[in-house]
Amino acid sequence: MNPHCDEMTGLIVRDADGLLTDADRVRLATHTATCEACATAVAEQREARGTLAAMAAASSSSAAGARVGARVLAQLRAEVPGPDPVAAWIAACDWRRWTWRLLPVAAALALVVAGVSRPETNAPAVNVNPESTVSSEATGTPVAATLVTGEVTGDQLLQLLLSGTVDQTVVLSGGTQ
Amino acid sequence: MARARAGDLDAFEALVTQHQAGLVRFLIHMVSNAEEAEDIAQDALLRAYRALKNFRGQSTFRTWLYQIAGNAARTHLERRRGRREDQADEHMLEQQVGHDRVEQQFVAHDQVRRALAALPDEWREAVVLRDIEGLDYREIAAALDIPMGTVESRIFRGRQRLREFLSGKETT
Repeated sequence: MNPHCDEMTGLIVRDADGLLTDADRVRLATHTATCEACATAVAEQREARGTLAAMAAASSSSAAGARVGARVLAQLRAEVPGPDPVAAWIAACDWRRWTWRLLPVAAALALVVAGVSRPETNAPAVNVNPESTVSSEATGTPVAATLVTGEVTGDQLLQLLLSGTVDQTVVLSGGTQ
Repeated sequence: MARARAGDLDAFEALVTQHQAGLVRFLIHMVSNAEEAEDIAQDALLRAYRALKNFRGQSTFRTWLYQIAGNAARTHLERRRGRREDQADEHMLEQQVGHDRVEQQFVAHDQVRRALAALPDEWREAVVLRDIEGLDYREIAAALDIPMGTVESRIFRGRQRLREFLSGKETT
């Protein structure tokens, strides 16, 4: 041992790892040429390093590692909270979501309305009382009103108007003109 | 890493898959017991996930993970020694019988593992990180929070003592 041995520790350790620069290798070799203790230490470090490297290569912990990884991830996934019920309700009430979802329904309704509004040649049958009806031929005047019995529903009446079957309809509730 | 830090479990899974085997191997050498090593590794990974948002990225994730695991292993070893001392105080005769059984469980089966297990914790930790796990000196210094010179010194002494055990100059 000499006063420079302590300075050699880092070089001796790295020498065993094969990490010395050329300059450091020369420096270590110069020292060990005159220091038997450090020369022995170099040999021992290399031997120990080789033994451990061989053991590291032979030891596999992949199965144990995979087991641990699976346990960790299973636990973490179980801890992840589910969706907040309040937030879910707020999201469900968002009109922007419904706007797009209701688009097909709106389109279907528009088609139905368009179909109803179209003039029809075959008007639905309406139960009209001939005795209370004043035709244009009988009076010689334009039909001012068609008297419809109370059996005609509002929808049927609307359909008659829209289809142009009568020009104008006045419903006299329960009476005659 | 950014996705994992934001809590993305799929991103964290990729990190776990990358480091799980090395982490368990490191801990097996640290505590000389596979079952305990797995438990500590699991705990270390869970801690890492929960502390990930505080990870500044000043070191690599591997270095940071080994730092967490190393701290957990040292705490575990201290507790284990404490339990064994308590048992020695209270049950001298039982301890003698139990001690052999515990020793058999703790020491590795082959000669190298036995020698490694007999090293002081600080030396063993440095040697395992370098010679088994292949961390470079800078990573080890960061993981153990010690200067580079201390890393070299611990590895030097650890390897030297290991060789003495293996050559029969020291006994476990």
